[in-house]
Amino acid sequence: MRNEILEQYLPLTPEEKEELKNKKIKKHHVATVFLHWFNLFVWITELITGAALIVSINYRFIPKFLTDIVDGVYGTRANIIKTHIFVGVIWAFVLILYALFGWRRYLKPTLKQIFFITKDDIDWLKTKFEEVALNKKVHYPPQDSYNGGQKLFAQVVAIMVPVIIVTGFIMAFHLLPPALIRWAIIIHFGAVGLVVMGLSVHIYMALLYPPEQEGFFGMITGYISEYFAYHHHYKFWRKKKKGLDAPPELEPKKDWGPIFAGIFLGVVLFFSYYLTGFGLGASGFFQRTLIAVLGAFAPEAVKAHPYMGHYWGVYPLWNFLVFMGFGLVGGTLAAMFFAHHKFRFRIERGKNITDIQRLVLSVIGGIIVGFATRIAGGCTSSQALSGGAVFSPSGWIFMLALFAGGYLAAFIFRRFWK
Amino acid sequence: MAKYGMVIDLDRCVGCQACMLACKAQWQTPEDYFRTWVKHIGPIQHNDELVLTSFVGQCNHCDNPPCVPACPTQATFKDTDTGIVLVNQELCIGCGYCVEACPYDARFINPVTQKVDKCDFCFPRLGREEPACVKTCIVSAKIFGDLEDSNSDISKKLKTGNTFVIATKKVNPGPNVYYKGRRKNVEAIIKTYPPKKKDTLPAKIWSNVLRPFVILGAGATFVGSLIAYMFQINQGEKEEENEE
Repeated sequence: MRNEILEQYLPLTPEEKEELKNKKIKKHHVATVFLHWFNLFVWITELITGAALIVSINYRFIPKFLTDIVDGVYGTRANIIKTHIFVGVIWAFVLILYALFGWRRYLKPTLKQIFFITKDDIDWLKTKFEEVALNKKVHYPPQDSYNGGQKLFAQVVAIMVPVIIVTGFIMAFHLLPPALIRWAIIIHFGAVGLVVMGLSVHIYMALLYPPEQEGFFGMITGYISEYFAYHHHYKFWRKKKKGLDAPPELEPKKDWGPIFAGIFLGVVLFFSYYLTGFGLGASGFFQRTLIAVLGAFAPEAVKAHPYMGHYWGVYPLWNFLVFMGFGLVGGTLAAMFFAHHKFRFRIERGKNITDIQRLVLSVIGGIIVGFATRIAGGCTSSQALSGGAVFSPSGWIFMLALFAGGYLAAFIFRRFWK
Repeated sequence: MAKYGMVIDLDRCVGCQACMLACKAQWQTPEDYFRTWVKHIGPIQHNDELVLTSFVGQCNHCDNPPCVPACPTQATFKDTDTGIVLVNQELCIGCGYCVEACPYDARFINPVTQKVDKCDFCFPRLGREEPACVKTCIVSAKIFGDLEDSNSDISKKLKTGNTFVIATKKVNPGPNVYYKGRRKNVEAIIKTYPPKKKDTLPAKIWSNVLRPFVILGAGATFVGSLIAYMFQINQGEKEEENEE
């Protein structure tokens, strides 16, 4: 391999070519890959539902038979609106999380690159035009990890996505007076339109244009061959090889103190009460799932049961506590995503007992706690947290009893943990 | 099939506003918002005559309602069975394009529900009772019924003549609320509260600028990509070769 750093990439000898083809280089972080395919799902859903919502003859832009198909799929247009808003909110939430937690690592470097236009980028666009329109044989100028065309599209997306999210929230939740909502609608529409204009080129390049095939698979695996990087993203390859302008290695971050967990829990609790009127609760999810499963097999027995019959309605799972159960899944995913260096599946136990003993003890403890929460009318979340937050006496008594019981149990079982 | 309408007898109306209150009591519209209204006019001079009357107004349930195409989601629609212009509250996103489009200012955005509200001829009471305003009117100035049924009270009333609609040569969406009375009174109402042809700026921009722009732009890149793909197939798909 050549030793000097070249401003321009040179033709390779066959041996060099073979060597580069066999080497892999990391192009995308797993978070970016995940976000990309999540975006694809969101854009498909939102474009279809959004287009099917604009049905007035004054603004309609796709033929009626197509919107009729979407109407048929969703049953009613009200469902289309609900889906559009629901998926949009989740999308915004994920993007905001990505922006907050990935700012330093992913977003800021990317934004810096796509808005920093060099002469090479302009030349790339010119060269591309010459190749496509004039059918010339061309040699592309060296490119960053995004080429000139990709940068152009990325700029449109980077500006329009926040516009889409803000106007979408304004419309969906009536954040501004109607006179401004009227403007939010057309801005929303126009911003989506601008992105869609680039989208067909984006999809064509990724799916159908042979020279970019490797870029497409790079968005799945995160890796591209050095050969591809050398030809298509020479500046990026050079930085990787020579460590030039390489982003500084991040020091392993210190864990946040547990106090932050408490503070954020309080904030979540506040918004839970403020937005939904309910506090948090975790055990209700298990209780209602149990009742629903039992009821699926023996509805009569459940209905007749003095305790479970009380909760047996038309939709035993249609309850905010059940949806809170999804928080367990969400929390696990968040931990896997943001604290992946610490996350692992294992059985935590002391040295004095085996894995089996530990699991048996856990199940016994779980049964006792689960039974007790039903007597107490809630677990740590609903009694101590939610109850305590609204100064419910039972919540405070529960919390004191919980700590007393916890210390007692820890004292009794302390030798298991030695 | 039916086509519901209303006749308002201005000669009988005493301007007591009981209809406004009955409507408000029935539909619980927020303070300062009314689905129907009574606006006193006069005494003024109109064509050398003295006019003192009341403009009893509400949604006209027009034949060609300008509010319907103005609504992006078709939350506002003209019911084919009754001819009543209705608002599907589930579809309404509260943008108010229709509020701006209505020539009669008959619509408003309910600040509580944040959705559009207006007279629906008491649609939920249809077939059971007359609309609240009709039922409560102390002088039976309001007559409600099926315009297509020639035996209905309203059709009989219309046949007696001297009925007008609030419309001008410029703005005539085909209202189905008729006003019976002396010509000078109706003319004074139209002069004081003329129906307006309105299009909001965002609605105009949307249908005249943004829609063609997005269709053409997205269409152009789509067709461009398609042509590029055709060329690519035509030239034979080959793996990337050395660029020497």
